[in-house]
Parts: sequence; C-alpha cells; structure tokens
Amino acid sequence: MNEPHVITTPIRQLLSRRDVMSRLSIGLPGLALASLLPPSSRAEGSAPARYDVLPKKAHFAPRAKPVLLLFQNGGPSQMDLFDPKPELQRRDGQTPGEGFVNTVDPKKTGSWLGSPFQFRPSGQSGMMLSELLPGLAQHADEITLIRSMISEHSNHEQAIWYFNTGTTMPGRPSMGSWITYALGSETQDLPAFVAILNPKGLPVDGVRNFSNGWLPPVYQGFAMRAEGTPVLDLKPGGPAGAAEGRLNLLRELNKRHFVTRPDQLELEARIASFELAAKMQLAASEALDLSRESKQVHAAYGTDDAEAGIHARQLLLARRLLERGVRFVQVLHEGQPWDTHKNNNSGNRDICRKTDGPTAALLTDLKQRGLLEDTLVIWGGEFGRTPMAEGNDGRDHHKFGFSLWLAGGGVKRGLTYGATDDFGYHAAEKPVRMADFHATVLHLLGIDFNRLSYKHDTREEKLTDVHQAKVVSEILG
Amino acid sequence: MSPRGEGETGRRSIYQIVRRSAPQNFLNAFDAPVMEINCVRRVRSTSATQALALLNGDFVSAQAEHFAKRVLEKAPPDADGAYTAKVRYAFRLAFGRNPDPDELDTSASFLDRQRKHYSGSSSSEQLLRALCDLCHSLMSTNEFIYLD
Repeated sequence: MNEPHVITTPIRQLLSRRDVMSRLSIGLPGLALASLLPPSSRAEGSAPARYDVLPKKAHFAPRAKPVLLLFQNGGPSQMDLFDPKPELQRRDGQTPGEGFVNTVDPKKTGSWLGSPFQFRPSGQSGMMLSELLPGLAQHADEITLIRSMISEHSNHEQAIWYFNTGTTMPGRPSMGSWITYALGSETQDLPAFVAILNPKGLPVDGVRNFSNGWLPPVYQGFAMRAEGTPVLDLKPGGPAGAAEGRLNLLRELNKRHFVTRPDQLELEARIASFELAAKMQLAASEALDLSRESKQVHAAYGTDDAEAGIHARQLLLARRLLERGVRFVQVLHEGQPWDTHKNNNSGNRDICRKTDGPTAALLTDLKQRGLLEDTLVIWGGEFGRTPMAEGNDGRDHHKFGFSLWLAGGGVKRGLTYGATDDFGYHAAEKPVRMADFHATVLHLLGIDFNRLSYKHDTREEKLTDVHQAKVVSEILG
Repeated sequence: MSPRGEGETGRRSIYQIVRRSAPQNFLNAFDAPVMEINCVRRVRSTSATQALALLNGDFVSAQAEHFAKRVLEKAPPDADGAYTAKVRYAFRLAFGRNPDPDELDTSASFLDRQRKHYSGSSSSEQLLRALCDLCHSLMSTNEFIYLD
C-alpha cells in the first residue's frame, strides 16, 4: 500500500465525497489540505490504519473474556422484581410528598403504588427477590444485584443510548463495538459481536442498539435470529464450486479496486464482510444448529414452551456462540416488553414467564460447562419505573434509581450492592452511574476505561466520554 | 425498489408498501428503517449479513439473471470460445467503463471455468449460468456498491 503509485492517484479516487466534505469542514485550511491525502502518502512507512477482530492483549489480566448482555428493553420495574419496599406498600394510595415527581411528565405524578408481589430471601445470602423470579432466585448466590443504578434520561431512546454507548446522544458506538475494538475475538469464523434478535421484530431503536457508531464498521454487531433461519442466505444455491468461483472473482475485483483506495475503511470493511460470510457459511451453520443440543438441554431451557420458547432459543443460541469464542453477545427483546405504562402487574407477570425460566437455565448451563467462570453476564434495562402510579395500574419511566444484575467472570457472588430510599425513588446508597457501570465492565475485561479511546473528529473518544467514571471495586470478586 | 425483482410490482420505487406479514429480507439486511416510527436519519452499516444477502440471496440472483440475459441479447458477437465482447458489455453496464486488460482476462477465463460447473446442462444454458455468475459478482463488488 506504500507504493509510489498511491501518491499519483487522483485524490477524487482516494476519498469519497462524504470524506472530502467531512475533512474539509474541520481544521484550518492548510491542515485540511494535508488531511486530504491518505496517511500512506503523508509520511513514508505509515500505513493506513487497519482494523480487525484478531485477539488483542488486554491492558491487564482480565477476569472475564466474553460478555453476554441480556438487554431488557423498556425499563424493568425495580419495586416489583428486585427491590422490596415495605414503606411503599404501607403508603400505597397516598399522595407522594414534595420532590417525588414523575420526571416524564410531572402532571402525571400519581399516588404511591405498592407492589402486589411477595419477596423472599434467596440463597445463602438471603438476597430479597420477587416471586416473579423463581428461576433467578435459584442463582441468587451467583449474582451481584445492584439496586442503585442511575440514568440521565427518562425517554427510552436517550436512556438506551446512555446504557449502550455512554451518552444520551445518538450515533456513538455501543459497548459491544468498543469491546471488540479493544479485544478482538477468540474466533475468526463467527462474527466478533452478535446481536440475537427476537424473531418477532427489532427492539425499540432498532439496529442502533448494536451499532458501531463512528468506530470502524468491522465492529458492528451482527444480527441473528433465534428461530427458523437464524441467518438468512447462509447457504449458496447451485453447484458448490460455482459459488466458490463467484466469491474468488469478487475477491479479485475488489482487491484491484481497493489498491487505489487504501484509505477507505468502508471498502475494507465490505471486503472483510465477504470473507466473514464465506467462513460463516461453514462455521455458523454448525454453531446455529440448535438441533445438535440434547433433549435434556432443550427441556431445561424450555425451547418448546409456548411462552418462554423464543427467549429460550435466544439464550441457547447465545451459549453456543459464547462457547465458540464470540466476544460479545447481546440478546434483545422485540419492542420494549418491560415498558409497563398500563397493567404493570400483569405485564410483569407476562414478561417474567417468558424470560425467567430460560435465564435460570442459561446460568445453570454456563456454570455446568465451566463457562460462567470467565463470562460476564449483564442483565439490565435502560432505566427503572416509578414507585408512583401512572394512571390506575401502570408505572412510568424512572431514571433516579433502578436495579441491574451481573454474574460470572470477576463479579462477587450473592452480593446486593447499593440501595434506593424507602420508596425505590432515589438511589440513596452507593449510587452507580452509567459511566461507573461501563468502567466496571471494561475493568472486568482487563481494560482501563481511560486508556481505551478512538480518535474521531480530532477528539479522543471513550466509552465513558467525559464522565468522571470510577470502577465499582466493591463488586469485584 | 421492489425487492423481488419480478412478480408483484417488478418496478423501482422510492415508495413501497410494507406489510408486516411479508418481511423484506433484502432491505432489512441493509438496515431498512422501522416503519412504525419516523426515521430522521438512516444508520450506516457493513455486515456479513449483507454479504450473505449479496452472495446467496434470491433477489441478487434474480437480478443477475436479468443482467446476464441482457448481456447475451445485446452484446456484440464474440469469436468462437472468446468472451471479450460479453465481458466488456457487462462491465460497461455495471460500471460505465471498459474493463482493463487484466480484468478482461480474469473475467473471460472465469466464464470459461465457471461453465464447467454446469456441465449437466446444454451448452447455451452453461453459458447463461456462467454469465449469471459473472454478473452476480459484478453487482457485489465495491465498485458497484459505492460511489467514488
């Protein structure tokens, strides 16, 4: 790529119109001209940056290698699931005092709304968990439950961006992209970062949930479905040799085209995507084939269950991918099932019936296979819900205090961390901001959150952005 | 655009009826926005899902066949056993330029090799299949997908 011919190649061939516009719009005129040239022609020996998903060394010894993010779109209700509030029960129906408002719309602030669900001490630690989560309760001794999470926004999208990407602005890279950028992947035959979608549809905010933002496209999440054909068009039609011939020709033509455009990451990523697709035609077919699992495994996850079947298949597929070295697996629901504005109680019953059993089976399975030791499992949504009623029987979005749990690699077992006030409104003890959460996740993977950066538009960007993040060291096992 | 190529509407359009019961897999692979809400800005993506759709999807195969038939019909005749006129015509249609000598050579010998994969068929069918494969590859190249 450092051959002299690169210098003589007309600039218009080296840069896309968008690149030219974006490069011209920044910096001083003289500098702008300099940045029009590809890096390879700026200084001898400085090849264009290459991005791949080959395994990389962490900053320090990691406690966890792959990550499984079970994202709970909509905002799970802390008072009904994880955070029992006797005082809230006692004041059920009373008007909240000053300072307790519905931040989505203060006019919609309702009376205190107690939870109808019983909480029971679970495991050796006696972690208090809701009767809606009998499966998770069996694993209480495996998890760290954080009851003092804080978000910065009460709208779904902004809060999802905050959770996934570190700020309430759209367009930034998601956690999975940052982590695969930092660490690459243990396998080169499967995507480094996979998003397992519910076959019924995308989550709210769609593909942005696993977007690479301005990180190179090779770090984008790869969408799979856990039903029917998990990956469309995986198998070529026609004679096998013919498909291979087409791919070889495509390689050849793309290579010739790229030689004169070495600075265009997009082209390189497209070429890499075909290489990955070619490997996946073999490796993925095997990985995605859930029928290779025993009857007992299927029964344990509940893959045939009328209600829990979909999530069971998502989680079983997740385990198969983690086993094969995929770095980051993100499991997503359709829409936002935890968004219980109405019928909060029946809504919670419904989604817990669909998810708790498979989640418990997954934890058992990971543990039995020795995978939980170094896999970081994250279960959480973008915010929690109001302890006050919305309408008669709903709960609105709530950002000041909510719960989330972690399990596996490097996380304390059977720990309940932080607390909300008497009502579940404010994170009152040991609040954990999203940036602290991100810093902690990165720390568990052996990454210093301050050193993981990517230069975008002249700025060294980080997952934790400009937040004064701190690792929550008390939850490290 | 009509994702099926034939049947239904078979025409290009920037407006398209979207039915929930009939997902448009090709468009979905290329991050078609969710229709229930406004899309103020499209997101960019490059994924192996897209590569698979381009390599193995019905839509591209169907378009490649249309393309190949057009080349067969419209390209000037070739000398026996040579494919240069067809390759040149295909390149001009796909990229608006002639192939350079290397590309011409690579593509012509590709056609020659590729025919053999369809040895069970008639000679004209073999040529059509090989030409479909050439057109299919051309439509999956970066030069075809991206504007400079």
